[in-house]
Parts: sequence; C-alpha cells; structure tokens
Amino acid sequence: MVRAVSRGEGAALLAALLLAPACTGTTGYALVSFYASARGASDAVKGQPYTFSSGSARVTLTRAVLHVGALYLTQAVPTSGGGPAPCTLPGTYDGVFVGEVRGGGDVDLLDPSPQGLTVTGDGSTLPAATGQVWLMHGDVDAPSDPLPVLTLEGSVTSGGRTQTFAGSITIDSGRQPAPTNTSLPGSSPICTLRIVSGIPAHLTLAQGGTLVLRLDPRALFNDVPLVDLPACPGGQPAALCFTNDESNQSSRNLFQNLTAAGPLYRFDWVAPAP
Amino acid sequence: MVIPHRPGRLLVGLIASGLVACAALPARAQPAAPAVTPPSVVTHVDAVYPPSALADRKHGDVVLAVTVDADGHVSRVTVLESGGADLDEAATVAARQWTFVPAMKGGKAVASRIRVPFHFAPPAPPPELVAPPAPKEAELPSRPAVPQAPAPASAPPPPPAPTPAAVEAGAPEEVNVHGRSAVPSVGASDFNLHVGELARVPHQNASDLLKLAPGILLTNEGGEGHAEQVFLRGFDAREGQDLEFTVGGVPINESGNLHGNGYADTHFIIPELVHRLRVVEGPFDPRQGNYAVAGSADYELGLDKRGLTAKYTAGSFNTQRMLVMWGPPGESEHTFAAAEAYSTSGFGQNRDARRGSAYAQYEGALGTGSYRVTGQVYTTDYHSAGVLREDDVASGAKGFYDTYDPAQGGDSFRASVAADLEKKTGSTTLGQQLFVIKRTMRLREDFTGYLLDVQQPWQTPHGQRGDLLDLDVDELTVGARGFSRLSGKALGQTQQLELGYFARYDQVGGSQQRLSPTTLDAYHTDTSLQSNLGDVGLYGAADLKATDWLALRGGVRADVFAYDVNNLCAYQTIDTPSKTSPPLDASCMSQVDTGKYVDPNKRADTASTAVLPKAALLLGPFANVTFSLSYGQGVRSIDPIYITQDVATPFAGIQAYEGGASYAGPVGPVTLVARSVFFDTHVDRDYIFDQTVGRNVIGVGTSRVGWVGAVRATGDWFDESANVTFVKSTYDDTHLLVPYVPDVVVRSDTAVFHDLPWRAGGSPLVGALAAGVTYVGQRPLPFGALSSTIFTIDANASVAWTHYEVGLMVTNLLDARYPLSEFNYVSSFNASGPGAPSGPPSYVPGRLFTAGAPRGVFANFTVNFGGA
Repeated sequence: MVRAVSRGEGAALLAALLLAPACTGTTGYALVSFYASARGASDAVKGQPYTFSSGSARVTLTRAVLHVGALYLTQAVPTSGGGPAPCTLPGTYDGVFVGEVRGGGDVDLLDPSPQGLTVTGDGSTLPAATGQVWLMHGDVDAPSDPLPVLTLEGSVTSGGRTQTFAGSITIDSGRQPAPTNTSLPGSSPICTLRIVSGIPAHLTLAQGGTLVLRLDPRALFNDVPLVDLPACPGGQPAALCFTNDESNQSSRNLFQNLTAAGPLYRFDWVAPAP
Repeated sequence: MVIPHRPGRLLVGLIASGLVACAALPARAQPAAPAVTPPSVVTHVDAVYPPSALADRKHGDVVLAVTVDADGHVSRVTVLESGGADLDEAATVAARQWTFVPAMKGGKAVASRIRVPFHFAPPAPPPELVAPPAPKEAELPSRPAVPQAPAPASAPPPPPAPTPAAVEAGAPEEVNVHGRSAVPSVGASDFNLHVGELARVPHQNASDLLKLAPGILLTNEGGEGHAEQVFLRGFDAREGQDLEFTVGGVPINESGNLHGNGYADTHFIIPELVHRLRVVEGPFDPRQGNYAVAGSADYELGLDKRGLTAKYTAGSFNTQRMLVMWGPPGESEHTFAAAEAYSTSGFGQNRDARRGSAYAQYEGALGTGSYRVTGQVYTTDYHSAGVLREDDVASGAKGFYDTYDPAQGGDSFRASVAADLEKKTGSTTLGQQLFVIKRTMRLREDFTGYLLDVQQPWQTPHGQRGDLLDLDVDELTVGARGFSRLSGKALGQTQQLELGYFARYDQVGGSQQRLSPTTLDAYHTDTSLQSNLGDVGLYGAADLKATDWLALRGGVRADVFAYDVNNLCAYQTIDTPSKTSPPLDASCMSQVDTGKYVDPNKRADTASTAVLPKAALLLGPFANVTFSLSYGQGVRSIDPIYITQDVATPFAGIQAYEGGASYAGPVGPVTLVARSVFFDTHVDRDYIFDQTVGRNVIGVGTSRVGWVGAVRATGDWFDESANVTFVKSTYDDTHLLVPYVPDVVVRSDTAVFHDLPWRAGGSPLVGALAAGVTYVGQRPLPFGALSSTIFTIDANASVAWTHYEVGLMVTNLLDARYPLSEFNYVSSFNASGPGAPSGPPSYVPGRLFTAGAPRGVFANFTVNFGGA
C-alpha cells in the first residue's frame, strides 16, 4: 500500500539526502600511535652471561648494551648500486616514512624480555617495507657524539685460551671518512653512519599495537676474531679492547655489523589486542 | 540635521531586482560651484499595473518628468514618454505620492525636476529574468522590477543621500542622474550582495564580507598582511587562486605570484567602502576570466555617508584603528576618499601588524555616460605565528597562541590607478577601463621546521639549517577591459548582445629562498623567476528572451595565455661537478655535469588558448520565482614555474553544472530572497597544498557535488542573511575526499536597527545590534583524520545620535579556543626555539594548526561632519 509521506518524514528525508554526501568518505589511511620495545637475544637469560659460538671461538658476553636513538619505518625498498642515500629523502616525506619512535634508550642485548623505549611511536597505516635504527645521542648530524652507542664486556675462548674483552663503540667525527672526491665534500655525511637503514620491516602499523625491535648480539661478532684486538690501555680490567677506528679487523667488522642492516636487527609487529 | 537613513527601503529596491547598478551622478563632470545634489526618495509608491492592460498582457514604458519642490513634495508630473493612457495614468498616480529629500544647491534645498522611468509588464517573471536597462540620459537609475497583476510597477531605487536642507525659492533645477548598467544574473549562484545594514556585522577586512555569500570559509596561517585562504563550495581556493577577484572591475589576482598564481590580497580595500559585492559561485558568466574556477567576486566601492567621517577604534591586543572618509556633498556615492591607519600587537605571540591604506575615487558625468578615476595606495608590515604542532601544545612545550619561529611575517605594498567610462549611444552601451597596478610583497613562512635542508653530495657538510621560506614578489600589471552591449526588441522582449575583451600584461619577479631562523641569512635559493605574462580574453554574451518568463543567457569566452619566463636559477643539482671548481654551496649553478659551463638562467616561452562556453537557462513561470540551469567552463592559468619551452601552456579547466531555484519578492513587509542550488563541478588539475614549498602544487583531478541554501530577509528594522552549504569533494582517481575543504559551512549575518525610545536635543537615538555566526563542520584531513568544528559569534552594538555614533564590537564572543586551520603533514620543529634541532626529527605526518583569535573587545567612535 502506498501512503503519502508526511511533512515531517519529507523533511527528514530531505535532510538525510543533503547530509549524506557530506558525511561520508575518507581521505584514506589513518594516523596511529603505537608502543615500541626492544628485546635482546631470545635464548639469553637476564642477568646471566650469554655464550655462543662465533667461528671457531666461544664468546661469552657479560654485558652488551646498545643505545638506540630512534626508530623509523619507511616505504623505501633497498636498492643495489648507486651512491649513498641521503639521510633524509628530499621531497618525499609524506608517505615515505610511515612510522617513527623519536626516542629510544639503552637496550640490554642479554635480556630477552621487552624493554620499553622511552617514547611511544607515531605513524600511519601505510604499509612499511623497511626500517631504520638510529644510533646516536642528540642530533644525528652533529659532528661529535662521544657517548658510546654500543658497550660490550665479555670473554672469548679460542685455541684453549680465554681472554676478556671490552668495547665502547662511538660514532664520532673520527669515524667519518674523508670524501674521496673533493668536489663532493658532502657525499659521506656522518649521519649515514649513524642510521642503519634497509632493515626489512614488512608490516602495517595499527593503533595500539607494539613495534618490537629484536636484537641478536651474536650477529655483532660475525667475522670478528677478537684475538687481533689490541690490549686495553692501563687501568682497564679487560685484556682486549675494541677501538673506534679501523686499525684492526675485529673493530672494523664489529662496526660494520653494527651499522649494517644485517641479522643484528629485526622488526616485529605485535597487533593490538582485539 | 541628519536625514533619517532608510536602508530598509533601499534594500527593498535593490535586492528585489538583484540586478541594479545604482550609481547616480551629479549633473556635470566638473560642476560649476555650487553643485546640485539630486533629490533622493524618502517614500515611494509602486505603480499598480492597470487591470485594463492585463487582458493584452501589455508591456510598456512610461517616462515622467517629476518636479520636486524644495519641501520634497512632488509638485508637478508630466509625461515625457507615453506608454499608453492607462499606463501613463498609473505611473502618474504613483509618482504624485512620492516624497523626497529635496535637491540641494549650495547647501540649500531647491526645487528640481527629474526623469522617472516606469516599466510595466504583465505578471510575473521574477526579477532575475529581466535584464537591467542601460541608463538613459537625465533619469534616475532604473531597475526593471516587474509588477504583478494587479501589482506595483517599477520603483526606481533612491539616489544618493542628499545634503542638509534649506529652502530657496526659484525655478526647478534640471537634475541629470546617470546610472550604470549591470550585467544580468546568470542563475541562482549569482549573488549580487548589497552590504547595506549588514556592514554593522563585524568584518575584519574586505575578505570577511565574502561570507555574505554562501559556503565560504576564510582561514589565514600567514598573518594580518597575508591574504585569506578561501574555501568555497568544496574548493580550496587558497589565497584566491581559484576565485577571480576584482574591485570595480580591476583585477586583484596576481598572475605569476610565486606564492600562488592568482594570489589575491584584498586587505588594501577599506571594508567601510564596500558598497556592493557580486559573488558568482561558478564559472557561468562569459565575463569571468582567468582564476574563475570556483567563481568570482567583484567589489563595488561606494560611500553612502556624505561629508567627512572619522572613526576611531581601540581595543584588545593593543589594537588601534583610525579611519577618515570623505564623501563630497553634491557628488555621487562613487566619489569618495578614505584613509586608514591600523596597528595591533596581535593575540598571542608574534602577531603584531601595522597597516595603512588610502583610496580615492571620483565619478563624473561624461555626456550620456559617466567616468570614474580611482587611485589607491596600501602598505603593511606584520609578523605571523605560523603553525604549531598539536603534540607540542598537548605536552605543554608550546602554548596555544605561541609560535616556533618569530621571524615569520612579511610586508606588502600595492598602488594602483584606474580609469573607466561607460556611455550609452542609442541602443548601444560602451564601457572601457584601463588600470595599472604596482605590487610587491615579502613573505616569510615556516611550515616544516627542520626538514628540507637535505645534505647534497656537492655541498659542504651541514646539518639542518631551518626551513624558513623567504618569498619575494615584485609585480607590475597593466591592463584594460571593455565591452559593447547592443539592445534591441525582438519577440516583444528586450534582447541584448554584448561583445567584450579583457587584456592584462604582468611583469613579475619572484624569488624564494630559505633562511636560517637564527641569523636570517639566506643559505639556499629555491626559485628565482622573471616572468612576462599576457592574458587576452574575448567574449560574446547574449541575453535572449523568448517570453517574459524564459531567458537564455550565456556565451563563449576565449583566453590566450602567453608566458615568457626567465628562470634565473635553472640548474640546482649536479652529479659530477668540476673537480677544480665545484659549485659547493651555490644554489644556482653555472655548470652542468663534468663541470661544463652554463649560465645559471634558462628561458622558456609558450602560449595556449582556452575556449570556455557558458550558458544559463532561466525560467520564471511563477511570480517572483526563478528556476535556473547553468553550465560553464572556467580556467586557471598555470604557475610560470611549470612551463616548458614550446609545450602548450597547461592550465586547469573546470566544468560546472548546477540547477537552482530562487524566490525574490515581498513577504508581507519583508523583502525576501531565497535560493536553493545543487551543483556539480569537476576540475581536471586541482591544487594540493605542499608544505615543503609553502604553497599549492598541481595535483590530479577532483570533483564535487553539493547543495547551497541561502536566505536574505530585509525589513524596515532588520536585515538577515543566512546560508548553508553541504559539499562532498573527491579525487577523481581514488575517489577519496579532498583534504582541508569543509563539507558543511553555515553562516548567519544579522543586523537590527531602530530608533530608541529616547531623544536628546530633539534628535532620536538610533540603536543597532548585529551579529555574525559561523559554523564550519569537520574538515577532512589527510590520513583519514577530521578537524575540529568551528563555531564563532562576532557581535556589535552601537548607538547613533545626530552626527555621532559609539559602538562596541566583540569578536569571538564565546571566547572559543579553536584551531582555525588544521593540517596533517610532516614537520619537525624544535619546540625550545629557533636553532639546531634537538633530538630525532619527525618524519611522519602529524597534526598542525593555526590558532583562531580569542575574544577581542573593541570600542569605536564615529563622527560625521558636513554630510547627511
């Protein structure tokens, strides 16, 4: 049966028709906030020495602390070849970076439990492809950063001989290589050393989830024989010490393992509880 | 003695027609003293369409010679042009009942004789269907109101307010009053707005008056000297890039302005001088040209109040404003001079501003027409607070009204002269206008903090030096426009054909550099252009009527845009510099790969043509009601920075469709104008805001659909304008919402005014209250976010007595703390102040805003001497 529409119903219908186009739709994606944490070796026991094999040697870490300055997630896909990527990507900010944790802290690599970073993260629901770990205190472009980003203490047993070692790794101006081409003096800024980029991170952030940075200290010691380390300066309890230069293979490779997107770093995403 | 002002009656006449150019001029261009001020209507009685003529649906024009005695009464009426006995009689009966403020000569009332045309037409096409007649010699400005049956015939609006009265015996003065023709309405989105009593509603500047038209939101992130950003019907018109602004026909949009091609700063217009505003929300008029994408707005300046008027305003934020206006008695309302001086410390941090503006115009008679000469100078210097990150405010690192970078601000200058004339010869009306505009501006804005200073390999190592943009523009504009309009009778109707042209040449220099906010040293040049720009448009417009209730209006416009651009900083990147002489930190390089020398500049020239059809069909089968269907194409020329040698100049095109209905007529004692419009528009290259360059850049196509409702009701003691706009604006490729444009805008302007029950010294006190209410719905922001809503009330109260008026104005009456603009984009500011960034930068989008003004209270005092 057809009945007439009342005046009130007509007004409501008209209002709905008018309001409908204005109240629907979205600009796409969303901005989210999330938690961030870091974990050390999954098979370590907090407070206990952590022992693993590295080549023919046995390494025991009694202290391993990494200072994380910040974390970023990007849509950038690693490419081979070409020159060094700039620390910031010109003209492509919106959408290139999809997540950030603008602060960090010291992460005990020998503690498998979640260690909350000092700040929460912000980002968008754009899918991420890779992540970055920033190893610095303060400004990533600052020439000087004398504080260590990695502190190690332990011992190595090789050929039946056990020696203690220690290291306080900094990324200071002394690390910055001199430009090979004088016409390109800015081709190797210090920030490129402090930013570990290209870490696989195929994830999509969501409101209330947790970004987990998993750190495997064993990866620091790939191709690090340790025995070539120089003796520590006097007054230090350890026998061998890493240096903040490339004077020995162990220090050079440790630094390379620290600043490369290798197995040391892994990003995981823990979805928020429903 | 002050003659009682009767704005209500004035509005009745003007709004009902919606078409009137009510210019009225004194007798001669250089009148021999003493000049004669024409009489002005105090009481007019509409002629009644004679029933005897109804059977034949008779049309007719009657022109009367009306003698007005020194007391303001009609003493004699003679028929100069007959429309037939019955129509002559109806017109004569009506005219005899009119009363006037008498004509003035040498400060004394004198008898005068004027011509009064009446037009009779059978029922009942609404006013929008009737083309405004060209002015005739020696007659009051005429409007083509059409009587109902039986109903009033035409009622010419009153001429300008007269000077104070005295009586002088003698023969009547022959008073010639000249009017200017107005263009016919192009549909329901053609808003011909007489400001009238709504001038009492607080308006900060001339841009604010745009709110009288529906759907307009104004924001400003750049400070008091920076043009307002205009949102209209789903368009983000930025600072005018999508809205063709003119003042008295003189263009305001700045072609080639590096901050935005078409940037339109209206702050040089003294708002008290805005007499009328025509806003066309769409590209439906063939006279519209470049930048008329969302529509056009033309300010008509005039000064009703004669004599010397001085106004002083002082109030919150250490704000002071002095305004002096002079309307020479005996001259038309379009003859005036005005100057203002303004200063404020501004609310919150870094919002101080100083401004000076002077405007003068003379209108004189020239045979059967009139001419105007206009001059204007404007200057300002100001600071602006810019944007704030919401998280910094939430954390307490920044206050809501603070700033990151106190170096933001700018200055601005504008000087212009213009001359125009309009003259009718036989059935042809001719108009010509010339203008010259000189304009400079400097603008310092910081949208992103410390993000953009990417370390390039050829540069010496550096950290982030700051993103303070320093933009400089220097422009010279020379142009002309003109038309010839031919009127004739066909099918028993007045048909019109108009041919016109518009031409402008712009010589523009523009550069944008980046400054260190601490030292204000320029460390990089982003852009440096010298441009010669030409725009020549031709149009043909027709107003064809098949019957008195059916009209087809429209035409075609063609614009040629020509560019000659010298990019002074064409080479900014290099892969393999010279090893012996690398460019290092130079912004504008004189070498390309392997060090090969090249001059740093590069020229490009090109041109292209846009052809824009426009049409509107208006139907008025019912009394006072008009239905309209409109179609139009518009165009926005492209920024010079985008042109390439010999590649046809790209431009953004728009197609717009709309259907509307309007009512204009009396409802009891109230004159009511109501409109309902549905619209659908498509832009093939829309602008999208890019914070990294501080302006909009070309994006993809967008479409929008929506509805507009608007009402204006005018009575003897009140004036109310209210409107609402709903719109959905989406990208064509993704169908996602276009960010930043509001989907709902509601605006109400109200003024009530009446004699108070008290008198002083024998003169009444006149009180007035006015309020402007704005509601803006949530605006979509990038990444699926929504802005806050805006709800503000501005109010004004005043009392006038004889020559004096005191008022109290309150802006943001509720003291709402609201973000005026909101953004979601990437920024990385140092909340602790200018200098090197501290801590890790932010690279993901976050919420930023510019603060709306808190409550402000301002008192003003106005005095008028020697006028009426």
